[in-house]
Amino acid sequence: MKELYYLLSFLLISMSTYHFIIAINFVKRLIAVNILGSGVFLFFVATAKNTPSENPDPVPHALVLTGIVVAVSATALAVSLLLHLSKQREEE
Amino acid sequence: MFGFDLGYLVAVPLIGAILSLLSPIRLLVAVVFSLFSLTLSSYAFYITLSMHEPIYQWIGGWSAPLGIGFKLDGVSGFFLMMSGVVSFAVGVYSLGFFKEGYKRQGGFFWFFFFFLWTGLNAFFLSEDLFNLYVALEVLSLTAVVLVALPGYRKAIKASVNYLLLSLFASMFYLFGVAMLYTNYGTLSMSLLAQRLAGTEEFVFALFPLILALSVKSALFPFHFWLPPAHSSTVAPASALLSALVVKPPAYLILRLWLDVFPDNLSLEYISWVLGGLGALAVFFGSYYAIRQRTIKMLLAYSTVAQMGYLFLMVPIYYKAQSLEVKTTVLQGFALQALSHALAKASMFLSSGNAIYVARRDELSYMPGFAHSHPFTFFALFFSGATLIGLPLSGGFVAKFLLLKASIQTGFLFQGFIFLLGSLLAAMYIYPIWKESFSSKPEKLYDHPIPRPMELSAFMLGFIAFSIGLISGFLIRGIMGRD
Repeated sequence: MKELYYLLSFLLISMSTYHFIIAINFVKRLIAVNILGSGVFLFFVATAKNTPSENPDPVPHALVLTGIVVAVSATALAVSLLLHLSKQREEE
Repeated sequence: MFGFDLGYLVAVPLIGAILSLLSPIRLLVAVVFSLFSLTLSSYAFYITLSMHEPIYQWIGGWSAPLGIGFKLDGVSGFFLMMSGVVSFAVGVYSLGFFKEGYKRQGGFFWFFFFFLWTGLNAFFLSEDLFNLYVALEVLSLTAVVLVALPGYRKAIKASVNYLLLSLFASMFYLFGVAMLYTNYGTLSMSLLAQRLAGTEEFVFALFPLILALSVKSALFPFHFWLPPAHSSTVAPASALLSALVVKPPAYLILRLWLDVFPDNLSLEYISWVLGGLGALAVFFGSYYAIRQRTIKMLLAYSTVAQMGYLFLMVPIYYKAQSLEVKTTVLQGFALQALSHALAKASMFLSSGNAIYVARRDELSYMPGFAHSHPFTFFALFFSGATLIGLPLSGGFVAKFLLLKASIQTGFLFQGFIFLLGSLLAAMYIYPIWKESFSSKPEKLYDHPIPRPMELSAFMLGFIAFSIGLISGFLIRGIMGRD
């Protein structure tokens, strides 16, 4: 079962990396980075099962939570900067 | 044990950042907390000069594996001092700069100024890979805001581009951290070092980690985001970005090589790739710097070139057998980082002075500082001499140490690149000096520059040049690992 999650996360990571590199539009690249983030978080959460004990390891979950917070705030910053850009374009 | 907690180094600038949002006492907070933070950084550096074992501290008394650990050793103390001195001087400059123009930006500049300082201190003290990730994010997000500070289109475009790339890099860094954690069950660098010995799996985690860190430190060919980002913002922000923000990822790469990774054949190939890219960065960065016609673009490309030196020496360190050579490489790395940080900050601040006087940033419009503003002229002279590596300067001693190590280990190619880099640096610094000597016909360029702006640029340049004379004292605390 774990392997399925790994496979899915690698798929997400490679697809979003590809689109991040080829896209020129800022919004498209922002979405690609967010999907990349989801892939990495999925991988990280799935690794929690990699312990010898019955219960999953809680540390990856805590770390992913921090990662999500960082990704969300960076996305908010990017969106606000993009809004500024589009406002400036309208004024011109 | 000593009487102060390493946590203060992070807490004091952080409190300064928050208090600087109170607009009536903003400047008072800026002065008091800059002085306070500088004192703490210098004290931490002073301790490392005479210690033999690194100091570990656990925040809130929670020890490993749950707690967050801080570690202070010779290298981190040196870098704390570097960020302290440069931040302080840029702070002095900003006192004059935001009085004269960009008043609105001056209102919230100090918040990001102290936040950057917090991130730097947290980065250099962190001991586990996830803390380093958080500190890197603090640094990158602050840097993005500093790029967007002037608010015009060019700056915001550069900042969005920078933000997207650095977010992309962070995700890869986290991916690498996840792979290391799942294979070795720890994030602490000292524990990882013990568990990595004799294993192979970590090589896969290396690729995302190194990709992420080289994007963030603008290693060739990932340098393309740097020149627009560093050149389109206001002078104090450019100085902070170019002097300080690109150093931490390069420092982390070296730190991983030093403290964490065991001997391994694939590591040797990777170190060769990093060294080769460093050599290309020196060459192409200098080449593009020579071709620039505006002073800030020139300085930004010069940062790409000077960062190349920091990667050039990874294979030398890897191949060095004796502890003595390893120590020499490490000391050269630290001195190169310090003299570049001081000199580049001084250069960017002086370019701010030039733009303040001439109102435009083409090189051909640069004021004849040698006639009108001797302090700024000497700032440009000293910092340029350091970037080139003229004898006595900090850059000279750094290059000398690295050249010595590369000859001792038989890396003549690296030695050649160090010399070629100096020659190319002379080629892009020369136009700046030439224009400073030219006497411009207009009397326009004579109006005075505010004192803090002139003095801070001069002091940084002067220190960058004169650390060559006291380098033996400065690098005393830095030692290689067996």
